[in-house]
Amino acid sequence: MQYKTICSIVFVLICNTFANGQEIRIRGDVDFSFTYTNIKAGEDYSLETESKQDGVRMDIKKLKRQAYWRVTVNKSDINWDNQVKVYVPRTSSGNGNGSVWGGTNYTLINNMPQTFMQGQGLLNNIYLQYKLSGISVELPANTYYTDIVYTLYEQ
Amino acid sequence: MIKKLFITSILLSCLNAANGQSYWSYDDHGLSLKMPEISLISVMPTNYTVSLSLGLPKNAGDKPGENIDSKDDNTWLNYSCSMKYRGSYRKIYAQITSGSVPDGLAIDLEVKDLQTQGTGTWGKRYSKSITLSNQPQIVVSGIGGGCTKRGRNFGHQLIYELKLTDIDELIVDDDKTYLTITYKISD
Repeated sequence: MQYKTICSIVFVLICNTFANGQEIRIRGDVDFSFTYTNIKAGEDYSLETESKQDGVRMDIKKLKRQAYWRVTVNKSDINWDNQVKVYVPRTSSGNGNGSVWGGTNYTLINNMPQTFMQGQGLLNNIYLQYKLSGISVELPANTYYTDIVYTLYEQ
Repeated sequence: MIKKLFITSILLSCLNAANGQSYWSYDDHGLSLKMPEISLISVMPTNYTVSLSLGLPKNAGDKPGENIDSKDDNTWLNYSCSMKYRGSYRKIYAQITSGSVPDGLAIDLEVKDLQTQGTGTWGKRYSKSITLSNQPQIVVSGIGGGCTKRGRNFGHQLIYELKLTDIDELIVDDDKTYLTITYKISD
């Protein structure tokens, strides 16, 4: 009896050791590009601009059965002008046996992580849209880069 | 055997404990914003033709001179400009690019400073007035990343004035003379 119990414990521990944990997967990139055709002489750029509603997709995978989770978002600037603010809402609730709440309003993405949305269970194809504000001819001509980081916490 | 399994379970427990903090994972994607260098200029209202004529003398012996028809202040210069960080400021040049002013006459151009604020760094007039010629002359300087807003009453008001310079050279001609005045924005 003692032998079988210890064998079971070892088996479970082995499974735990080599099992992959929860996973968040992001697919897609976002490129905002302006040209001189976007404005006429005398005008400024529209202060706000949005990406496609389905340009970036998020999958929540490999959770423990119907586990609760939350996702935080932050940005990691490579070359970014602080005059330009980045916002994200989710535009879909994804497919799968899970559910999601929060994240439908525009969330300002800072360099510090903050909770973006929460949910339960596995989901695929949660679409994300981005909005930039503060676009102006005052911005020095350049190509600006930042990384948008999503972190999944299983609860 | 049991002892070995017990030790193995302890080792695996330790390993799991070490990995046990990984209740999170992350992924990221790039986001880029491309802002080009632009220089756009326009005279507003579009398709407006400035028409100037010299006033008739009111009395015998007087010179043809200024009257309301020899001046036009109905156009504004609008521009938008975006430049690289620490790029050189832009200027606006004016010149006659087709036609020529009849002998004995000249067209003066006064460029006013902005009366309604624009956005960013807009320019200032370079001099109080110039006499237009077929050579480019600076009329606005110091334009950085900015814009004037668009339309009448925005940007730099342009005031054209036809002036008599030498009555001896003046040839009476009923035909109109057409000129094209071009504004160019450049470093």
